[in-house]
Amino acid sequence: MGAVRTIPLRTEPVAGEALDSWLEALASSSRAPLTQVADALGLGGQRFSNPRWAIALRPTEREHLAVATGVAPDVLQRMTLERWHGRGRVSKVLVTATR
Amino acid sequence: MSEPRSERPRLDNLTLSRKEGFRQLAQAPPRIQPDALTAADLAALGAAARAAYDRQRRNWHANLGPIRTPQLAALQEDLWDIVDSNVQDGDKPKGAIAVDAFPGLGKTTAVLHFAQKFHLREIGEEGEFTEAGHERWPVCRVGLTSNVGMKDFNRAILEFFAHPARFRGTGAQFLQRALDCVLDCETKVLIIDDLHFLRWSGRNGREVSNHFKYIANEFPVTLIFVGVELASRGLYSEADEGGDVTLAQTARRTTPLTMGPFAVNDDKRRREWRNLMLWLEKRIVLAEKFPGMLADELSDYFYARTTGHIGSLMTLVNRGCQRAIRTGTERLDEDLLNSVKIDAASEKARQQLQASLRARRWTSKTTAGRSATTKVARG
Repeated sequence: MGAVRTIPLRTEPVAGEALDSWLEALASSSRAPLTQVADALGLGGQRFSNPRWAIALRPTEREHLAVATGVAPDVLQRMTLERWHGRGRVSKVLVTATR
Repeated sequence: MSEPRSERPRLDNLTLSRKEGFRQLAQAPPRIQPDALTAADLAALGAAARAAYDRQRRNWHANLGPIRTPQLAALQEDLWDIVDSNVQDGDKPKGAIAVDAFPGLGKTTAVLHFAQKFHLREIGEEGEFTEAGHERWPVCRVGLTSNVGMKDFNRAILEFFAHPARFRGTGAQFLQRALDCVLDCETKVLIIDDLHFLRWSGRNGREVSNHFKYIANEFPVTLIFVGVELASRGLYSEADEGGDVTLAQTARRTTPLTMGPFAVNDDKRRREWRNLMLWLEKRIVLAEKFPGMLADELSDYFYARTTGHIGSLMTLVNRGCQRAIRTGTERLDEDLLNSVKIDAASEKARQQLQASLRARRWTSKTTAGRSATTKVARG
């Protein structure tokens, strides 16, 4: 992983907020398009309807995001669908997403 | 001897155009001076230990300073006065500062040293994050390059802060984002370095100089311009060549500060030069160094070579020490220093100064210093 730069303007996720919702909030407070914020946070290069990172973050993505935003990795992990891992149909989607 | 532990992170790949580089430089602990070894100690070192010791000395000599010279101290006092007095409410524009001096006098070093202290003070008092949870960056530094336009300038501010949308956007968007960064990160000082690169007469130059006025009005920061011959380039002009008077406000709100070279035309100034020689002498780590090597033996020589310009002096001392280590001379003397090249301006001025030195028309030594040297010579 190259040197990760922290983003200057911060917005804390609210309890129970999903990752994509929080990224929208970050983009809004930075007056930046979501695509540019996602790029800066190491989540670029993906489609924005149902992006993979909304389902589960790879360890490198989680680490990058945690450093860049100052939000703890375990909090970030709970903001994805991974928190439902092992509960019904989500498991199958997760297995695909993290590969 | 084992290799000394590195007490300080590597700083040589830092850029001050980014917040991380600026912070790392500000927070870096002082370097630790390598132990002074005698010639016998040096000879007793094994190859690996000798290589490690020499590397430690190379880094040390390459990073001497900044030195609290009278010029640096005076400039920094003025900077503290102006920056700390700029706490007017948002509707009142802040006074700007122009540090305008010839190259090699240490103006950027002095301003950056001030900025690092200011950064540490503000972070120490207010914390690393603002009340709203944003990163706190008390200082932002932007270095100009030639033909920079307004959009490039605002983009450079965004690059410093690592704003996520610094790569794409319109000029207006970049400006708004830059203002957000300055406001939300509670930036109080904006340093614009190398302002002389700006072409004032060109369209971009006019645009950027007008932009400074906008910044002074809209951004709650103290602008510190650093550059060469800013006065003659039009920073304080009341109007530009086309009669545009928008520069007038910049001129009225900008306090010019400068730094001069060391002089040796009276005892007080010669004492300042001698103190500088003593400061350097104390910090040079060469096995054959002796008391008075700089302050007595090389004082006139260094003055003639550098015409009292601190930048040229530090370069000459650094390169001289590197050569003394590499060649095993382990001391500075005229023969060694004569083989060391420095900047063209110093070399040009040197010829005239050395001729007048030979004719004994000046000396850098104080009256007391001259008597002491004479006594030593007679003894």
